[in-house]
Amino acid sequence: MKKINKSTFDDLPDEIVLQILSKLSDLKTLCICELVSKRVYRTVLQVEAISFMSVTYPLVHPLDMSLIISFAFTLTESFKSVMLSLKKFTRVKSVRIQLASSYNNPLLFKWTIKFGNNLDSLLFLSPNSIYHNHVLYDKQNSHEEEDVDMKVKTMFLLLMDANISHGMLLCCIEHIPLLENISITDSSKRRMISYSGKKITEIRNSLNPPYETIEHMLLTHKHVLRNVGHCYVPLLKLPFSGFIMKEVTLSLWEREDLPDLNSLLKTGVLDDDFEDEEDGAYNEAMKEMLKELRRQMEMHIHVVLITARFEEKQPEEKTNTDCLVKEREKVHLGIKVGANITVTGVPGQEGAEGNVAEKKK
Amino acid sequence: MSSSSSSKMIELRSSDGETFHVEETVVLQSETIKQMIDDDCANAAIPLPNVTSMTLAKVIEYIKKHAEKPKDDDDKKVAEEDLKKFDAEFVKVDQESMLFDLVRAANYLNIKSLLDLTCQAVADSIKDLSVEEVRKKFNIQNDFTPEEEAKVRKENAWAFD
Repeated sequence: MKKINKSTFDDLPDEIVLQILSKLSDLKTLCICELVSKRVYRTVLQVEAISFMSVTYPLVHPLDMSLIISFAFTLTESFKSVMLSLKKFTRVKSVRIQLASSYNNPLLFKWTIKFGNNLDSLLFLSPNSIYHNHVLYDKQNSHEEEDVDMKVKTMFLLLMDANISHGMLLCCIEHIPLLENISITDSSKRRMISYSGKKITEIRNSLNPPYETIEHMLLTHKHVLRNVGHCYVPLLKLPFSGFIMKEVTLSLWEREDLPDLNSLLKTGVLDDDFEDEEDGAYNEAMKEMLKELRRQMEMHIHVVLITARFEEKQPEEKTNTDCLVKEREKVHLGIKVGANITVTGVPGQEGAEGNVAEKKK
Repeated sequence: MSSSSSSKMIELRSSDGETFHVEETVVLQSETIKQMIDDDCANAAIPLPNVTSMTLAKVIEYIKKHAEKPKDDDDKKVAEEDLKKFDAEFVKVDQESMLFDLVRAANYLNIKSLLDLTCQAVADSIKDLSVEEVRKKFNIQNDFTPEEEAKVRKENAWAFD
């Protein structure tokens, strides 16, 4: 018999040990625990929720393709070993991948992807400033004169980031049989990627395995996204969340052979998984801007990355939404970057500033 | 059930024979004791053969604190902050064995919030430790053969960088 007044770790029942280990959730710590003893090893592998940090490639400035590719390779290698560890945890239901932010610029933006077996769409939304309501000033891009340049670079990195995120998601969905929810987050909260329940099952059913190797899955970019269009509005009022965004740019990229059924442009259907109020506002803004993009494309207004100047003082027309101030005057064509993004000068600030207050009435 | 029973006292007896008198409303946080009361087994002192008097005193301190009801909404915020501080202090115990005692008592008495709190405290104390440090801290015998250990280490090589 053990002395009654000296509890040790060994005295704790298995379910309690599991409860303690479950609170660790960090994969690296859990892996270290595996080595402690056979009992801890057996128990730790029953943990159901795991999060892990993944290496990130830094924003390269100026863009250096070879450096970026080598970072992507490092990331793939490290993710591969992480997956090998993760696969041993056969009861995992929830995975959270945390990335340090790779975009260390002051740009305000959020992005999300839609995917199945292939990466289907990438959606990028960037306002110059965001207001919680009519009065409260919240956040503003600090280097406005650099916006265009920065947005282009950011989008370029995003395309690769989207591919890698997609690869990670597919790996997890394929290799973790009980997975119920998965999210990828980063420290600056710019990425809105979270999948759960039914959506995971749908993706799993649409998967086209077997993937020979994880690298195969991560590094084959068979379906390169092409730019569908950009759209810009000087002032975006969001009736549901109450937020106001100024100088908003939306950029949509989709797979070439994407069926209409899955197209964000055609359906406008965006997932409603968001973590906080601001993400909710971004989600709403993305939906509104998608509508606007579709409208523009139907009218054959081809908007390049940033095209508009806000000239008229106050638009007469109030649409049913009353949230889009639609005035597009001069289209400046500027430098051409890569194949798909065309950039123009920074839009003028005049007009937009005063309008929020006036419009509030 | 009845609201007038707030002053009813329940007697608890620890493994080393000490008795404690606690208000029924307070002690109901323990699902185990609640079940005994519901089953009408609480007329005499309730024996708790798995809980020492030292541990039981700590548990009672915890459930008493958590039974305090804030008077109004302003008070509620203050009380929540206060409770957080209390919890943080509560798990700062001198000896690891005390923490394990509390985990076991919380488990036996089925007090979910206390079990959560103490398990979290144990988990927090594991974070950032090496394998050897975890073994030493919790006095766990390494029962892997060197070959087995090398194998597991290899599987998770990235975690030991």
